[in-house]
Amino acid sequence: MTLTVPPTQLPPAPAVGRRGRPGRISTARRQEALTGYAFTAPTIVGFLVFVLGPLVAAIYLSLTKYNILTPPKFIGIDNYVRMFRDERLAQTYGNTVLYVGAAVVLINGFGLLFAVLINQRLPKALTYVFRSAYFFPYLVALVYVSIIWQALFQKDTGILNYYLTALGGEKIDWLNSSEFAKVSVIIVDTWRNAGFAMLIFVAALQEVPKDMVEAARMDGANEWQIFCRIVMPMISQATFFNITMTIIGAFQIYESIIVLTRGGPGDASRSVVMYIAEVAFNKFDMGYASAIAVTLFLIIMLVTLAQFRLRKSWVNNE
Amino acid sequence: MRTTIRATVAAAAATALLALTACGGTQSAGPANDDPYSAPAKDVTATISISNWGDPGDKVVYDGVAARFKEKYPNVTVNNNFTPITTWTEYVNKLVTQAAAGQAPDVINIATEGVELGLSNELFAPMDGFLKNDPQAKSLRENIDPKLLEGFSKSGSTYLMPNTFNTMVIYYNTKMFEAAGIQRPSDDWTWDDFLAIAKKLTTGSGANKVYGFAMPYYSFGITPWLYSNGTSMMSNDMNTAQLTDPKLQETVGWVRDLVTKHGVSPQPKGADPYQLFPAGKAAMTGAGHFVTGGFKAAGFADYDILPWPKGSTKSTVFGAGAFAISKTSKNPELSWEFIKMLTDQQTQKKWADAGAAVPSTKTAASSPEFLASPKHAAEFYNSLSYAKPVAAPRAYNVLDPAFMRAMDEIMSGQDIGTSLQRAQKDVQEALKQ
Repeated sequence: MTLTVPPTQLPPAPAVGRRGRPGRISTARRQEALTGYAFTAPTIVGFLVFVLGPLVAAIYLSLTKYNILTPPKFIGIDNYVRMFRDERLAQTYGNTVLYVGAAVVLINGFGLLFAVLINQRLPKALTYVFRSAYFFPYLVALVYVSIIWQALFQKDTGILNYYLTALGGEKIDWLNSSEFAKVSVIIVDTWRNAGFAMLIFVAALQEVPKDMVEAARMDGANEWQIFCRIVMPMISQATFFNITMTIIGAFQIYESIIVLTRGGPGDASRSVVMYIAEVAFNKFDMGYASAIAVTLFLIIMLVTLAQFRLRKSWVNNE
Repeated sequence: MRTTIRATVAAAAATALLALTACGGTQSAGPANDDPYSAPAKDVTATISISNWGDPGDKVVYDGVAARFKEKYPNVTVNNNFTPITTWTEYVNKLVTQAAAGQAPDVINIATEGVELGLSNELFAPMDGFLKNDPQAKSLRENIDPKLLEGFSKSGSTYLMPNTFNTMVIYYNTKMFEAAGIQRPSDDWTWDDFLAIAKKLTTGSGANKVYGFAMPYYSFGITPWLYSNGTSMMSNDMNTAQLTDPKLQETVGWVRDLVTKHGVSPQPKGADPYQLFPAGKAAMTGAGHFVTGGFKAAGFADYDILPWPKGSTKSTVFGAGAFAISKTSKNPELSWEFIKMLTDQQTQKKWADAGAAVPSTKTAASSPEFLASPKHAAEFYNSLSYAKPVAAPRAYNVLDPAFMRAMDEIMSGQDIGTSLQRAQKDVQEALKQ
């Protein structure tokens, strides 16, 4: 909100003028300022109460021992030191990093693929059907669909294994083996989020100037070259947005795991946010849980900052 | 839906919210006094809140008690909060969170598993004053097996009144035993006898597969195997976890082999024994009395019970449900009156009929209604004589999930020693906190 004063109202001699007519200008300015603050107040209050407040509280609690029934006791950085010998934390962070990597590649890969397919010259109705179908998983509550996914993943009765064995493969214990529990989570996570990435990509693809593509075609570029040299750079902003969102989202992955495997077997598919929830609401070790939460916050922040730094080198700002 | 979704507020936000709401109300309306006890006047006006848990059958009993209480104290509002039970850990976590928010209920229903946790967090008020001075309490307690009362006292003070308990026994399908020509084994049967029978009864494949044994796959259900092999998850004083005890490892290996080696049990994840058994898909299962209500509702009656088979010793596990008065209750006398009603003979009889658990008084547990079904129903109360209480340290809410995590790993083929070692570390760390 810029408070520019029309030139006519400006005093001829600044110092004197300001002293001469202080009331009028400052009233106008103040009112304008107040209006501005009033408009931003809900956001600011929301930010203070729901973001900054909890963040400060979490940082404070991370330096204490606190079981929620007795008052917090200050213990310095003990909670942070403790993390280095916590094998479960190492495992859950490892899983989470794997989920993030898989999410970035698969969600954006499939999102882009679907978007390109939908962007072909198809009858309008068909485009609409496809777009809804791919976006649908993002709209339904995961808790309900997870029951269906669990059924699909069942070792003896699941449809996935039915086709696997029909094709001559071995039955896979999707939910109860240490390796495939993670794979199952990644499949459901990709299934759920690819539609959203697709929507962003579709919007960007429609903004790619047709004449530019036509010109390239006239110059003899094949479809693959057009895609790599023209389309990709033109939609790089959408790519950047999608990658950033999937990274942040995947670091906080929780729901899809808890409804599928509850983190098991053991900790094989547990994410760091699930571990934080367990430490906080099961062990009631709020101090330690807050400390882990703070590290997760810092990691997400650093990764996002790094992304914005790298942005200049590959994102087209035209 | 078993999954409790605590949403994604998990991290910072919730931590802070809890910090804001937590205010340990420590005012103690201690009922311990030496004056002769007199019940509150009939026209007293007050509100008391109850935290109860269980299945729909339990709820009927609790609602009945609340209605009876309303007749006695018409001006008292009873907030009868009922939690459909999933796991003990979840229920206890909910209680602790409520208490931390300064909203502890006046009357708390809790079981052996949560007692130490409640005591160490000072959730309960001692009941000694009432027990000593209220003649009704004395007659009620005399009718209860002392073993049930033991676990509910600490440093000479009693904090809880038991209402029901469960011991784990083996359920078997009488028709399937008959069809296979298997006699009911003696009460002193062993693990080997059990395995032989389970093998005989495992038949078919695909959709016609019938298992010899549907495994109760939760801490309380695995514990009888440990106890009957002379081991336990905790030391006797409840201060040390002993999940790496060689005997415990041996037992867990035996349990795993039922699935992976002998194939007499289905993979326990995703297989509900209490559906397989009444559906005739499993010839035996292990359970407390709590399944009989469901069997009755499903019209399944072809079963009887046996003591848990002997490993190196004859034993099984028991856990009792009990009521405590919250330390922060403003109406301890009314709460006490309510608890008396919850545990008196009339309610006990209802428990016996509802079939959710074994009533804690001998009178109710030996009533014809209770003994009517199954044929050897007397074993439920008798098994108390050799049963041991479920190992429930202060950190039970860590022990239970840690042990089951290890079990999941072991069932999925991971090394027994490594998995239990991890769980051991987790529990020891929590015990030190």
